[in-house]
Formats: sequence, C-alpha cells, structure tokens
Amino acid sequence: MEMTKNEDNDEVDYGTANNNVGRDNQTLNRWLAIFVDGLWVDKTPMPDSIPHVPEVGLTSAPLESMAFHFAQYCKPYSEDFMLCKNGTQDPEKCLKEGRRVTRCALDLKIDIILNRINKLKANCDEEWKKHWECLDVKNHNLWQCRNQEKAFNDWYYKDDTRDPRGSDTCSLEEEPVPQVKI
Amino acid sequence: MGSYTLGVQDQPPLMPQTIAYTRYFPRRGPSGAVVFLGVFATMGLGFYYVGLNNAERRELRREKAWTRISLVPLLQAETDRDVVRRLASARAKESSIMQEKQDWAAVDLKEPVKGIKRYGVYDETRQHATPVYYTDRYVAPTYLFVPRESGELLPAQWWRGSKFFTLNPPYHNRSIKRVEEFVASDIHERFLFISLLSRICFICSADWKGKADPINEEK
Repeated sequence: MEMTKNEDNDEVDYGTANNNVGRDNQTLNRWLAIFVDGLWVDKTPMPDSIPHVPEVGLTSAPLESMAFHFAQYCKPYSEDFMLCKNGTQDPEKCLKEGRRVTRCALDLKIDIILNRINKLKANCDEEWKKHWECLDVKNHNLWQCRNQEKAFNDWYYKDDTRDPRGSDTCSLEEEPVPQVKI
Repeated sequence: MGSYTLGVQDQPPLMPQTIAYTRYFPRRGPSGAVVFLGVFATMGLGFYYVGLNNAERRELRREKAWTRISLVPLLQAETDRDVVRRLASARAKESSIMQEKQDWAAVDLKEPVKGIKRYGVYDETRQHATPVYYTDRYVAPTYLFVPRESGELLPAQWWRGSKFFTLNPPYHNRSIKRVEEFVASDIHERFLFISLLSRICFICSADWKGKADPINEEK
C-alpha cells in the first residue's frame, strides 16, 4: 500500500474487504449489492474530484479483534462521522469525515503491524495475529479466545497509561452520548 | 410289646408362636413437606445459576454488539465512498447514452430547483437536471438501469448449497448433453430416462440453457 512505501514493508497480506473502491480496481467485489436480478459489478474508478484515501483492507476477524482499540483510538473521528450522518443520509456530504475515520483506522493498523505502539521489536504483530486467527476458528466468538485477547491487550497496553482494564470506565464516562460541538 | 421310642419323624417346621399378619409400614425418612422443600431448594439453586449465566451471556452479547457498533463508522465510510462512485458512474452512463438528445440531463435527485414543495417550478426546457423530488432532503435512488449485456450484471446465485446437482460441473455437462440428444430421439425411451434424471430436467429448461454457470465457472 502506498502509505507503507517508505517504511519497513513487512506487512502481511490480511486480505481485502472492499478493494475495488478507489483507484484499485483489480479485484472484484461480488457481494456488495443485493439485487434481485443479479449482482451489479462496476469497475469504474472514483471521480477525480474526490480525494483518494487508501482503504483499510481488513477482513472481519482482524477488524473484530481491533474494534475496541479502534473505538478508543479514533473516538473523535468516529463521533464526528456519526454526527454528520445523523444530520443527513447523503453519502456525499460525509465523505470528508469518512476519509478521516479511514485514515485513523489505517494508522492504528500500521501501528499494530509495525509495532510502533511499544518499542519491543521482538514480537511484532504476532499477538494480534494469534487473536484473530483464533477468532476465525471459533466462529468469531470473543468469549472463546480470551487467552489470546489477554495476551494481545497486555502487549497493546504495555508501558502505557491509557489501559482501561481494572478501572470503571463505563459508568464514569464523561460524555456517553456525543454532543454537537459548535 | 412294651414301650417305644420315637424316631425321626417328619415334623412341621419350627415357627413362631405368633405370626405377624397385621400391616406394618414404618414411617421413616423425610416427610412430604421436606421432600417438596428439597425439590424447590434444588430448583431454586438451579434457577439462580441460570440467572447468573443469563446475565453473563447478556454481557457477552453486549460486548459483541459494541464491537460491531465501534466498527460502524469505518465500514459506513467505505460503503459511502463506494456508493458515491457507483452513482457517479451510473449518471455518467446515462448522460452518455442520452447525449444525442439535446435537452436531456442525467437525473440528479438532489439537484436544487427553484422553489421547493408546492412552490417548485418545473423547468420545461430542462436546462438543468430536474430532480424527481422537490425537497432538500437527500433521497436515495430506488431504481437503477443496468443494460443486461453490459457485462456488469452477474446472474443471481440463489443456490448456495451443494453444487453436485447444479448446472454444469463437468459430470452434469455430459449428462445434460445426453438429455438434449435424447430429447431428439424416440419418445418411448424418454419416460424411463426422465424418471432416472428427474433432477436434471428442471435445469434443462429454457431459463438455464446455454447460459454460463456463475457458481462453477467463477474465475
């Protein structure tokens, strides 16, 4: 991917979800639209007026294992996007916020993969990989992969002060429902 | 003949002087109330554990729901970009198809119009794209025209089960050809053949004849 061109490219190919969006129209996405008469395949690239953003390209298991950390890491951008969506159903109106969300998720993914979160070069993204591989085997049941989840969270929060485990975050949430900030 | 001694004789068995013939049921063990109490106590304990487990399962479902909720912005942003791209391309196709017609503009459902609702003004000359709805609110398109031969339409794959009896894996390609040859042959042999291959007959109907099988021929 373009973002990792200047860095150590030891990124593993985790597979793609929607890779024909944007400039990359090589792969075929067959399950996007559910039409009665058949599936609608459209390989036209994105209009040039819309800025291009590289896609996250994660399948369901890595996304699921990353979901909590993504919510914590990209909270302001996600809230921004959802507030924009609340105002209108028009997809063109919320493209900018959507791009920010995607970039934040990409940032998190690269952080995990390239181990920029903590400086232990020994284990890169092994913990994450083990967790989502376990999820793949166990029907995406989070309760069946607790050991790997613990190892992943231990690795993720090592030497870090934003570890929410053991603290009461749910009931002490400052802003449970995001408000519009004028 | 004088005195005599008794030898061993066949005597009745030794029995107690009194034979107990009255009913005797010793009332021992727990009483009925105690049994009921025990049953309800066990059930109560069981239901307590059931309640605990239900609470735990509820929390697990909550965790699953929040996992999915957290991912909504990411996936929605991706889908938004894709929808915008597809609608733009559909609009471009419509314009290119209708380019010879002078006063045609591809329908833009959101294009602003002079006045809205009952004060809306319909542009007879169609200088600008005339929206279908006279409202500021965004309206998603309901219908989409995709030409059947454009190659953009893949036939629907309703059957996601066993592929053994689907259209044309190599084995059934052969048998379908046989049925087609057979249909051209004498009538009196057809009934036996049709009873044997009753499953394939519906595939040989006009709907599927000659069409590519999307399941087994996917590239």
